[in-house]
Amino acid sequence: MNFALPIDGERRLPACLAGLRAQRSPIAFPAFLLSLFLVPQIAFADGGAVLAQEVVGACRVTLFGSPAPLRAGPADLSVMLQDAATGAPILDRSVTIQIQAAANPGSEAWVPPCCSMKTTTDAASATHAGAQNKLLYAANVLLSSSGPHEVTIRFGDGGESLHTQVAIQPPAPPLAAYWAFLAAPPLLIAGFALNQRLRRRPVPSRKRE
Amino acid sequence: MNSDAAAAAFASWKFEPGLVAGLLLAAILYARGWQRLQSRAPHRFPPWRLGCFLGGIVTIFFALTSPLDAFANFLLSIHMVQHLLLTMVAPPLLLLGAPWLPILLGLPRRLTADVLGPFLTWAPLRAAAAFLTHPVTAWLLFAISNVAWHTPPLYELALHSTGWHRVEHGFFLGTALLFWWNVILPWPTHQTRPRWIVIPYLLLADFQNTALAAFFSFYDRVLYPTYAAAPRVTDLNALSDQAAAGAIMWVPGSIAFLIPCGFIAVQFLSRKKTPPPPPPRRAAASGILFAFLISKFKSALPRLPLTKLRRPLQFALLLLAALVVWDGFTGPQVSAMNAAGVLPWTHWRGLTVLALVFAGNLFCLSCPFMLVRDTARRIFGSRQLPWPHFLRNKWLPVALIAIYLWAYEGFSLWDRPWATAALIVGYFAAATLIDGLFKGASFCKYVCPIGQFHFVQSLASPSEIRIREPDVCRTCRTFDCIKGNATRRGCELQLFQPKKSGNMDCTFCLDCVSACPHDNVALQRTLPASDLWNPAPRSSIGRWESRPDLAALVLVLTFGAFANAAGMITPIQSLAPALGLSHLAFTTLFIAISLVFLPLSTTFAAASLTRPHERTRASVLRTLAAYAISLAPLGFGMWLAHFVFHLLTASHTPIPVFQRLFGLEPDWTVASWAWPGLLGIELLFLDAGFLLTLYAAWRIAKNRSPRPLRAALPWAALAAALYVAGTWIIFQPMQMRGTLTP
Ligand code: SF4
Repeated sequence: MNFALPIDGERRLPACLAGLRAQRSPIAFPAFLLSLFLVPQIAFADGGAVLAQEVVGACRVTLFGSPAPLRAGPADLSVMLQDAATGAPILDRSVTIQIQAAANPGSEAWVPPCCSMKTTTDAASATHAGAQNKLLYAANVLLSSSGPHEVTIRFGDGGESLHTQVAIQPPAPPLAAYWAFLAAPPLLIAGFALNQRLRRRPVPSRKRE
Repeated sequence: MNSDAAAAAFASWKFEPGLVAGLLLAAILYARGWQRLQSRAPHRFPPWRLGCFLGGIVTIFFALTSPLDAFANFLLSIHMVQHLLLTMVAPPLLLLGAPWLPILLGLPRRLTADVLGPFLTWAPLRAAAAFLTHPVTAWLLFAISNVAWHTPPLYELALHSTGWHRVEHGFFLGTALLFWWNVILPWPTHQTRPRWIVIPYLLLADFQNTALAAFFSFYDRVLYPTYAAAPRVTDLNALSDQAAAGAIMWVPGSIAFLIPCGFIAVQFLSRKKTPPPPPPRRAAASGILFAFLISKFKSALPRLPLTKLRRPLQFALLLLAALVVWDGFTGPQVSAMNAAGVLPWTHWRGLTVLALVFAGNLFCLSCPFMLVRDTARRIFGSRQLPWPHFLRNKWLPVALIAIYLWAYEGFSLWDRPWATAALIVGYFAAATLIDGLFKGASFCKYVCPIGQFHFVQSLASPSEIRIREPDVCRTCRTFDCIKGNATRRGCELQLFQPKKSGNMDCTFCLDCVSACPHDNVALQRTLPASDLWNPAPRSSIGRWESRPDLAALVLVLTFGAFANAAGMITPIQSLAPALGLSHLAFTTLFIAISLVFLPLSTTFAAASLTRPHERTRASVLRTLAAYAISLAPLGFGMWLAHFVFHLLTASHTPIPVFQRLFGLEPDWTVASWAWPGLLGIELLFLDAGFLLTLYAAWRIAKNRSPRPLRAALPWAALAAALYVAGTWIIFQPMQMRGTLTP
């Protein structure tokens, strides 16, 4: 097939494009754009589900967790601080999030090998830089096991803090996050086999326009 | 919201490399195709089409990465704006660009013709396309998607899961593209139905949109618990936010339906006979400017002054090597704190394999050993011996590579800066001695394990040194590219340019480029791995099937890639104590099995199974040599996965090392570019290598067998087994070599 267009423009354009016109497939373009959305998502967006909300002193504190529900493994915890009276976001505090297993830890997290060096720390510092939504303070943490966990959020110099308990679900199977990379070879091989089959078809004689 | 909070809110952009890359690719493909069409059919593709398509791309980018996305979980009204951009703005803009033809023409011609072509004429696909774009189907899909995704269970699912949120956006955009297809009928779509049906089509869509919007506006409870629980960032409470979302859906949504409806109604009512197509006009100035810019960019690429860059690059690497050696001998004997523990094993290896993927054999081009060798030659004089005949093959480097892989694991070379420094000094000494005593580039061609590694991996690189015009060589009488001349030496690796093919044995030294008096040799793009299935004899190498030593080289490097990565994972490391063996004894056994027993047994078995399907019954060894080369890309994929893993996990480790070397206070708590997505990138490299190997085996089989599928099957099975092993390795807990983490 030769898709080069002739240089004498419209007069010969229809003939040249006849093949393409006959072959136009309107779903190809939507499929191309859709594929951009279906690339597997490995990072977690900040925000996520609201895990706790309380007024502490003059502050309204909201804790978010992503993925929702939280599972053992890498997670994003983010905090929003607001003036309890006006609702205005408070952006100038230093925030730390401490998370500890409350009782006997459940199933252990599976951590991608590259991230095993980021060992669980007792307290992670949450910052605006780590958040997509710059009204939030976010930290990436490694939840080492499932089960109930105590979360303590400390904000500001006055030692204000919020304590809450969150339930961590067992870890997702490791393959769940990477299924697309493993599914790609068999799908492409199947596509190639189909391509070869189609190429061996007898070419139907095209009617003259 | 005060001004600080407003500034923070407006700064809430998201960086999504996958999305940005995809949108950029779409824009580039369209622009490439549009430029070609613009010069040939300017009246069909005026600049406004390019503007519309790029506007659609920018709209998607804005909807998915701007603060709209950051606040979608806080305010339903903001989320509604995001969805309207994806359903009412981006799709019509993209389709007004008539994207089908430009994107097809923007793709590489071979991809369009050979890969996509057969599918485009496939009847079931065309029937599916006709079904999906039928007005009734498109309308129903659009309306169902719109209503279904707004039901609380599905909407909450999308709000709580990034993956489902993407699926939701995918549905919105996909069904909207199908819906608007019938309204816009992007050229060259034929109009097969009366145009007036678009009017009820749009009005009915507006009706369902209005009903849904009214429901949002007047419902007296908060529909979605997420928004009821979300902290309020504006003066709107959750219920008024819901009503505002309804108003946004209602008014701008209706306008988006009614404007084209009115336009088509006017067009229909004032319809005249369709005028004949306008005569071709000259391309618009913007198109000419665009073409000019692209041609300038293209012509700038091959003219990179590589021949001039070579010496500075060699000096820079020589300097770095000297630093590594000095620190290796005198610095702290902890790999993560020493330049000899950090630079060669994590950064140099990672960067050279990345260079092989994206450019070519750039390490050999800037090899510092050659610099020392050239100096030594001046000292030793030019009376050199020929390299012994019995060593004119790859058996010596095969043995050296196997010994190196054994020593690397057995003696933990990566963790001994002193040994690393000694190895580098030994390497310089060997290169100087061998090339000082023997003619040509004997060290590079017949000894250097690093060189052999790069020769084999660069078979899958996208560039090679090649002649420009065969006709010029046909009339050439001097053959300076191989013989050299008074001022320039010819190829010391005995590669005669007109008969050279691929990258095997090519050090990218560019001597041939400088020597050719006709400027007929250059670094050029090539189809990665295409040399693997080229059956023709190549200069100084011959045919793959007649070189068992080259097959052995490929096998030791392919199986070595898996063995080397397996050596750092916990399940393999825990085998030694389980078997009651010392680390060295276990390593010896492991290397013997993985580099000798497994390659020999599996490839001989594969060759024996392939042989009955061959056109001419060659010996098992020749069959093995012909097919073994196809495994090179798979090995390269595994090397890439392994070295890029180390490069990114230990990305920042040179910083404190240099701080220490320059007398500053080192801060050993460095950051790292490791993130969960790195595992996906490793899998991607392995996938690419595996698929390229399968394709290469199939192409080789096509050249050699009347039943290519059967002939290639044993090699495909071997590649699949290695791929599964590689995937398993990638998922295992690994030693963080080159970092301070145990
Ligand atoms: S590459 Fe240059 S020197 Fe070599 S044969 Fe061709 S024209 Fe002659």
